[in-house]
Amino acid sequence: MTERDKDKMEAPGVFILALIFLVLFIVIWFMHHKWLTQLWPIG
Amino acid sequence: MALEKPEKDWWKPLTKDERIWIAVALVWMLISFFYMPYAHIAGSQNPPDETYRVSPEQFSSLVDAMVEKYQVGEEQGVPVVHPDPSEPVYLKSSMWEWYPILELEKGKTYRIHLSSVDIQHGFSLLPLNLNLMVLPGYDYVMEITPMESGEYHIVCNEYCGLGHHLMVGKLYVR
Amino acid sequence: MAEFRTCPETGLKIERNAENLIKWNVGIAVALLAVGGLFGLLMALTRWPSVHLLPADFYYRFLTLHGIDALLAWVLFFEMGLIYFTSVVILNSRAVCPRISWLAFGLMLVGGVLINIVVLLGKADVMFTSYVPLRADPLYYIGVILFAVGALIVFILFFANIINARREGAYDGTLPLGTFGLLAASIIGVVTLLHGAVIMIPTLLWSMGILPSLDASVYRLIFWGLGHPSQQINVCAMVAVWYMTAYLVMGAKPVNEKVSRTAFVLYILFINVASEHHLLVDPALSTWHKIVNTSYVMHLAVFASMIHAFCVPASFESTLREKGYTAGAFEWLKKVPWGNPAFSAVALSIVIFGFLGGITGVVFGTEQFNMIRHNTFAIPGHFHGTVVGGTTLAFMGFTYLMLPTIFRRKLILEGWAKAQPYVFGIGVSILSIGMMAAGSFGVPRRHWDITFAGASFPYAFDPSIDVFMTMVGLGGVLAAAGGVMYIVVALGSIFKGEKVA
Repeated sequence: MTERDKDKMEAPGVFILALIFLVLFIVIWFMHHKWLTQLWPIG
Repeated sequence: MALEKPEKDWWKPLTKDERIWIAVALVWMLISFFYMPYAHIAGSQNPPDETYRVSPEQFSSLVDAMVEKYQVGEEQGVPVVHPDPSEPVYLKSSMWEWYPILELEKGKTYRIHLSSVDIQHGFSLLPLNLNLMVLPGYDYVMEITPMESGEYHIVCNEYCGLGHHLMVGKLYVR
Repeated sequence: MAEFRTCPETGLKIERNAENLIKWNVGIAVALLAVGGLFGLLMALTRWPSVHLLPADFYYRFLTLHGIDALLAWVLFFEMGLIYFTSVVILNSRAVCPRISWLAFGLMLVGGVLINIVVLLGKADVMFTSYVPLRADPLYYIGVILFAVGALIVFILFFANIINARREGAYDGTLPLGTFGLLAASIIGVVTLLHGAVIMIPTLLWSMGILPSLDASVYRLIFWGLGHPSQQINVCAMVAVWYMTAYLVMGAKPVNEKVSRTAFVLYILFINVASEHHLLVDPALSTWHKIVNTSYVMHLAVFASMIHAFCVPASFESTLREKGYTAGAFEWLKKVPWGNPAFSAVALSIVIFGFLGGITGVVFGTEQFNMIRHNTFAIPGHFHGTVVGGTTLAFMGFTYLMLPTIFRRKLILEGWAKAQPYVFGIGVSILSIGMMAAGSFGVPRRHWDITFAGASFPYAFDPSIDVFMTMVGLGGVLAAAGGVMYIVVALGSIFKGEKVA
């Protein structure tokens, strides 16, 4: 592999799909955070 | 090549998209990890971690003493209890009943002791959807502050035998 | 003396013993999936509010068997087949100690059948978790132990097979990635099944009255040392199947072996301590203990899954780009073989495993979030995304590749096979989403009647859950239809398929 290859995208399409996945992940995660804070204080 | 041995120089540098994805994924995983200890410091909703050993007989007598002292009514043969927030509150689970019915005051903080006198049960407070395990031999203490008045139900959500789906209790917040 | 034949399609040298071991393990796996799937259909039809099919006692009994047959037996028998495939066949080697291999197969089969009989007789309505002090007949625990010992022997044989292959010069240098994945699975498998022995033997003694009592919390801790890591065996095997299918169908090779192999190592290092998604709202365990263990030590094993889920589709894309489909970001996506059931099963498996099972696994496994999801219907929603939509679907797809190479039969009903991954995948997705949505309203799992008819204080759920529970019913029926298609094609091809030379 040459130096130039290192800055090449091997799979740009999958990279975009993976970012969509990550955004969905973060959204679902924060939805649960919101639901959690609606609970009564407990500890 | 999943079925053959890899090419000789398989320990090779990563491409740009691999590097970015791995970095981003690692950062997000570390954020979701550190959320947990952080929430214990800054958050108000955390799973309780105060536990004691208790025998079914000990726990039953504590429940009975509380019921005797603070009973204010009865529904379907189950006593309704209005305990003092400064004293420990007990909730007993057994096949297939939550005992007694607690009547709590809004905005006051209670220490509710949960235990089972027979097998494992699941405490699920609805419609709040607050879920904790209840094990025999263990006294699980939750410190909780009811925020809205109303009528609540406690459903058992750990399988506990044929009458599992009949095990529903009540809780009032006034 | 080892007898070999050469597979005309793959060029692999296939030894007779290994071939027969794979045939029997996979064949029994498919048969057990048929049984477990039937119970699954009955579950879906019972939790569908307008059908509510089974009476309470049969619901709980069949739910126990659905867990045993579909989650443990089908998946593990198939993995035994994968162990012989990766440690013998793709190394062009022979199976060592065939007698012990058959003994292990026999132990698993006897154990599995024994569990089914004991539960059907109504002597072990304890769910597959059998939480003490809920007591089953001692024969139930004996069945579990026999099954686990059989599986443990095969995991150990994996190591014997690869060592032997190397000694006899069948391969040299680095292991192929598929074998490497099953190596990770076998390491996790040995540790996992040792946990199983540590807890199941005392439980057996307790059920026979020899041990006076067993602590509920200790049981849960060690049981999940068996229970959750065994799901990581499935993850490793499934990921290995993803890579192997990509190669067999498209000739796709991993973009970077270093990344893929490192991710498998992360599984081995961080999964074994991760038993505690199930214990986050338990008494007895401390907060720090829960945080470290539940998160697979800082989520580093989840991180590994995120790497694999990138690398496998990236290998499809990079292969097709090399073939000249380079227009835009997504031209390659139109050119992947959507009509090949082995491929479409893997593609759907990646999507369902990641989007439905994976995200929710991390979220529900966060200590605080677990309080609003523990033991609700959302939990089976999560693991139907991982084990059914992910692992089971990937294994179904791999069967379509094993039929010609190992069973030497052509597929019957190819049209059915083509449609099957889609029917099954869509059905499971609807089922899983319905479960998760209902769980967010607090609908409990393992529960026969959420109208609580006959209870002293019945609770009325938000009426919108009817929609979600109906999704569970419909999705379950659709998934069952996909399951029937798979079983008809698989068993039909094994017995009636045209012979491959």
